[in-house]
Amino acid sequence: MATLELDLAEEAVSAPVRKGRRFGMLFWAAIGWIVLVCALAIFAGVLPIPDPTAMDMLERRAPYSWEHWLGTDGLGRDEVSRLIYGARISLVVGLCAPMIGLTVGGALGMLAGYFRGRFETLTVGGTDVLLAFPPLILVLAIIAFLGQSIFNLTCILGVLGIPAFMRVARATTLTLSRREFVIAAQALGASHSRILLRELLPNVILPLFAFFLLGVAVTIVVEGSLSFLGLGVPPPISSWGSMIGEGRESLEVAPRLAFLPAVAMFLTVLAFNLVGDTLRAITDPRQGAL
Amino acid sequence: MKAAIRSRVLARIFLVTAFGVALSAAPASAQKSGGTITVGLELDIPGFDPLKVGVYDTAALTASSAIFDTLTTLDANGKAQPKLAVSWQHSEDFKTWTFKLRPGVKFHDGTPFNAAAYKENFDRQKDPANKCRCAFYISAVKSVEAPDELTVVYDLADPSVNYPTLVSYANQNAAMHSPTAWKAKGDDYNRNPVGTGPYILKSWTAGDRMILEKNPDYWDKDKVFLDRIILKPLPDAQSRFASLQSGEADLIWEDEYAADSIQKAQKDPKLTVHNYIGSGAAVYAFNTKTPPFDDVRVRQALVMAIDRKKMSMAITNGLSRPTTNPYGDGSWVKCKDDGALPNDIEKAKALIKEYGKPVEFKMLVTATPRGRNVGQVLQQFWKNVGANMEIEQVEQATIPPRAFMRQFQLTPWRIVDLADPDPQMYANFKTGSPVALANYSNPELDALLDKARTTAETEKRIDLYCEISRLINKEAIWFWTFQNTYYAISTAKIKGLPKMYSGVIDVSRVWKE
Repeated sequence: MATLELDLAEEAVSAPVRKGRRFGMLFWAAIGWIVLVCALAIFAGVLPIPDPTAMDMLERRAPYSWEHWLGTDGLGRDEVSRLIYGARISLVVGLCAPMIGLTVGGALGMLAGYFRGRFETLTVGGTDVLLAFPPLILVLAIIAFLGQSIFNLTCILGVLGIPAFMRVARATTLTLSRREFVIAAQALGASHSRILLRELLPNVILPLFAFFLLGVAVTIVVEGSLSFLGLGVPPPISSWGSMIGEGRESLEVAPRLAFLPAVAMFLTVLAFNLVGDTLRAITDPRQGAL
Repeated sequence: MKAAIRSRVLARIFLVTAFGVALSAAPASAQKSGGTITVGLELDIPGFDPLKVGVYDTAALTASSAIFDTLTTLDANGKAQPKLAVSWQHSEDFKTWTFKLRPGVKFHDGTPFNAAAYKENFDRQKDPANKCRCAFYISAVKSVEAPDELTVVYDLADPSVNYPTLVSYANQNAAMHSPTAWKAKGDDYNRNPVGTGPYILKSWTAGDRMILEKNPDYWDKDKVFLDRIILKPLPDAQSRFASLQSGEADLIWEDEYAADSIQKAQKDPKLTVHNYIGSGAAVYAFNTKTPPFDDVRVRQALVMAIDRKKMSMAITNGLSRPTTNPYGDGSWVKCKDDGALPNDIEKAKALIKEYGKPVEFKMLVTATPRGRNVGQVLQQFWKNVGANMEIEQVEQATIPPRAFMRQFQLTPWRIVDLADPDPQMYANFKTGSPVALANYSNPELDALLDKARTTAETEKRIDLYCEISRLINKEAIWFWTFQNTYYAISTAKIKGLPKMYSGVIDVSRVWKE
């Protein structure tokens, strides 16, 4: 298993100064934004911000003020705290759903790529079926049937993510399983589980993780679209998508109500994409030492 | 100073009278024939066959009032005036109403409109074999007879002192269809309606537009001015208003939830805002058979927690007009004391505390922006007094079935604008009625309802209906938030739009300057 990791370590050791330049300013800015959003979301409960559902009905769509930094929304709720609590929803759904895809899809993909045969045919066929559905429409139907909750939303989006993760894991495993370190392990009499866990997993997990970050970005957008359509998390919980949807109704009077959450979502998705892309570029097994 | 004010007031009165004279003098000369009107409606029309669609919504009503005629029509004072019927009389006990029909009226397909056709329309809806959802609304009518060519006799199960006002607009029951046409066309009739009205359906592309052409043989054609009516479904409020501003539409349907557009239009001299303050209200029913609503203290506390003025500010910029009874300003029932519970948060908290157990429940709301807004505002009011409401979003169409099956704890409902309160009050509160959503039974209330529908003198009926309101408010089985107000916005060129009774935008007799 050591080859790839050694290569990486060698590069890191040989060029510690270049590292910052290699990732670039954008990468660090993206990391910074993600950390900021995560921190705000995690500590939303203890931050000195108003309750996101408390309404000041006579102060609806109030402009920026000391009391309400970004003003209030269409029902007189503080925009800042709704944005921060909205980040919670976006991140919880955005991180947990691809996690399901990563775990299930990753495991299926590795098994399919390693064992091949009928199991592979079945798995690939099954995921092809799942991919053939138009995802958003499928989600709409299931949500309408099961009811709206964060849990349902996360599960459905997670299951829909499985095929993509499966494909990435399988493709990587296919190339790796014929590599010399795997053959060596086999020759030494290692069991299948040992080969899968100790030899293959550490090499597959990096491209999967890079793909996971892209998955986070996509999921945040999908959750936003569902909430925009009113099928995301149930009110009064705020989510960026539902905030855009609500803001759209007063687009002429207070455009910021739609634009602020849109900007927040845009920056977060962009940040996850940037980080994911950068990580993918450096963990791409094709560039690994052959 | 005082004199100045007085003279200003006087001047204003003169101005108003001058305008009044000008207005009453103007129509004769100003009514202009010809032209096309494009109307932007909220919904796509599902069709016109009562057996297929069950109920006409506001969009369908705009079309049906141009294609169909009804027995009567309401004048500006809410009194029934002749349309297809030329006169009517009632029996002593108000259980039999006899209508004399207008002679010589023909359907668009050339067949004559007569008492037999009227009876066929009625029987088709009433026939249990047809399973028409529309039959519910005529359940109070036992039968319709046609003793001769031009006489229709209504036999009612219960007395109705105001029956002619109930057949005054082209809803699913009152619109007169051509029996020949529905028999000949079968399933296609739904989208190819044939009536006696001032306009004939020319073409109809689902989801895009419906084109109506003037009926050249209309019995009252001197009062019909436009050559053509185009109806378009424009579901999005923002784009509907934009198409009015751009001149793509001449008149659009609105409701008070589009408060921004309405207030903007009020300031725009090129646009006219039409509104009609109807009777009835937006109401909510507690299911008193499910806890925590089996306890009157909880129901009272929740009603006391609602600040209607604030709510109106929050959801419609203050356009919604609060009400504490189901009748509203547009009704002739006006109560000195409707028994409204006060908006008292402390009292509400105390009542919930007295109840002892945690108050948690689910409320149905429509999965629309306005439904979500109303739901969240109520949620906030109830949170303030220590009650926890969970919003359950459902499609608009699933609310009636769930309400009828009592699968709810708290559901929104509406008392629509009818000329007489009896049909709805009786259906909504009489023990055992399918629409008595509260599952509540009270002999005192039943007795009052029975008495109110059989009393002829208006003064006495008003007293009875006020007593009913006091009783319901005290028991808090339903509560009312806002009166029905109907809106339409048009360009200033559109004239002659009649009052929007029941929210119907009837463009069949407007003209364009």
